[in-house]
Amino acid sequence: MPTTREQLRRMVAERKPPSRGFAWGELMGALEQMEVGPLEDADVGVLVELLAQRGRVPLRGQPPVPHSMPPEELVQSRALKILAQAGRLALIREDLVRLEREPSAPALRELARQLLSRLESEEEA
Amino acid sequence: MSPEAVTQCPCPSGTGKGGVDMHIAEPLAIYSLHFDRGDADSGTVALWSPITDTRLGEQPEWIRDHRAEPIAYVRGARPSVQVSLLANHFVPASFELSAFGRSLSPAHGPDTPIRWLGPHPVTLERTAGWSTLAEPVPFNRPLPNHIGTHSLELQWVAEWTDADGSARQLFLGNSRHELFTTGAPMREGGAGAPPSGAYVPLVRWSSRWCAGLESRKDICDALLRGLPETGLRYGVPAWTVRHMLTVGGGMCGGWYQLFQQLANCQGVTLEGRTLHLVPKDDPRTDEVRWEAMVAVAPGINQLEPSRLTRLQGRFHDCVRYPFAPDEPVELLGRVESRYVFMAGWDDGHCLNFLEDSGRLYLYDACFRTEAVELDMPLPSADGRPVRLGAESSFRRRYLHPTLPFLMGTLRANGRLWEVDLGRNEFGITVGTEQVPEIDIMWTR
Repeated sequence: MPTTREQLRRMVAERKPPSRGFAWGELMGALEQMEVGPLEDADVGVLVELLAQRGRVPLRGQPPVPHSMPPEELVQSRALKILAQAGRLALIREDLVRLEREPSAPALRELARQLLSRLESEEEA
Repeated sequence: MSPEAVTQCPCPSGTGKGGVDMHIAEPLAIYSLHFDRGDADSGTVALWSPITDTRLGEQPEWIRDHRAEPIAYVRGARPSVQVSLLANHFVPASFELSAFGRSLSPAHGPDTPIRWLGPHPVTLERTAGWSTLAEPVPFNRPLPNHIGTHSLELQWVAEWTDADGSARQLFLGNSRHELFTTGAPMREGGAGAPPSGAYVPLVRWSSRWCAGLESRKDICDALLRGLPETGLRYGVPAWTVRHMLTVGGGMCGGWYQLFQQLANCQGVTLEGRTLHLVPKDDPRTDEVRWEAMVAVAPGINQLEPSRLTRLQGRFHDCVRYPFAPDEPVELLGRVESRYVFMAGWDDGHCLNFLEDSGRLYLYDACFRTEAVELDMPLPSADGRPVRLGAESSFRRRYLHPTLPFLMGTLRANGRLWEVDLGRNEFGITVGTEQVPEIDIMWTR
């Protein structure tokens, strides 16, 4: 039985999400594993794809409803933080620009703004 | 011409009646009025439809028999309006245009008719068809210098002198406008706001609730008191103002933006913050203090916690805290519906703060009906942990009554009571006021 992390990788590599979708708790668990590291290239691909898909992942069951932002933005927020921690922000410049401009949760916009600023500073240096 | 003369003017039959199949048969009629023309000279507060997400001023706000959208200005502004006329045959090519209506200021007496616009010289481009005046026509006087909602009814009149020297006048129709005067200029581009101005229900509500108010604190208090009138509910899965207005409610992430924008409509800037609980794991015991903040109140415009977003199941409320793992403790099992705000960065509770006259006030649009005055500076949104002792005014005046339980994975009575929302396991819930120290974080 593939792990959720493996299923996420397959979803990106083969464009084939699991037929039953992901359980919310397992999806969050897989992101926590990536946060702890080490982050492999396939994981980076997953995170970049999660942002490209605007956090939309096929889910099964009823995901818990966060209070401060929608689940899709929460997924994007987690992906941003993990990629920032891994120093891979250059891969998601367009997503950062989009998130800073779109009417998303203030916390997510602020995070995107900070990371975009950091990326630009790094590129100038 | 005196205002009295206008009030005696015989109105053509059919004028002012609605209906899309109404034909305009008068020789000359006021056809459309455009206030928010999308430029700085308009001086309007841009109003947006939450349904279409378009600016009402993209078209003339008033089109005879077809359109009558509201308009808004900062109080004391002197509007101008782009006027289009529709002419049939046999009308003079040149005349003076005026609009009369009742005063909006009590000082003039509510029934005193005044000349709001004109006499403004007009030369028609054509005597059959539409003519739009080359320049917007300025109002003769400013709008009331206070926050409020008004009904402005204008009677439009053309006046000219015939070749034989006799004065002539022609009634061009009525226009009626829902008009809002706001307290001060808005700050553009706030969270969840349209690109300019505000969604029209927010300006309508805030201008009515805050009518005549001056102080920033009074304005925010009036907004909080008025919120139940919106019918919007807490606990509906929507996180933006437009989404909330469309589906009838939202989560705290939407509510705090909505409250910020209501205040912004009147020129009051609020600081939004999200309150996060810091979870601490104890690897020796597998305990986690704390996993979530818990609310038991149903939230604004709800009779019971929302079925869409509540957690329902058996909660184990701890009678006393702290307790040692090896000592027996009484747990009250309660099957209830509650709201759970998970600890950590991923979730929290969104609030607003007002700094006014050296004091800090907290506004919780979801759970509180009055401002909470706090003895602390505005929290920095830097995400750094802050430890709250028992004497913290934020704890005593806000946290204890609003989020009365903290949920933890704790050891008690010989077992580990875990939190696993997926399996409807809610660990142990401890009275917030019983916890000696609580670690929190603030973000935007």
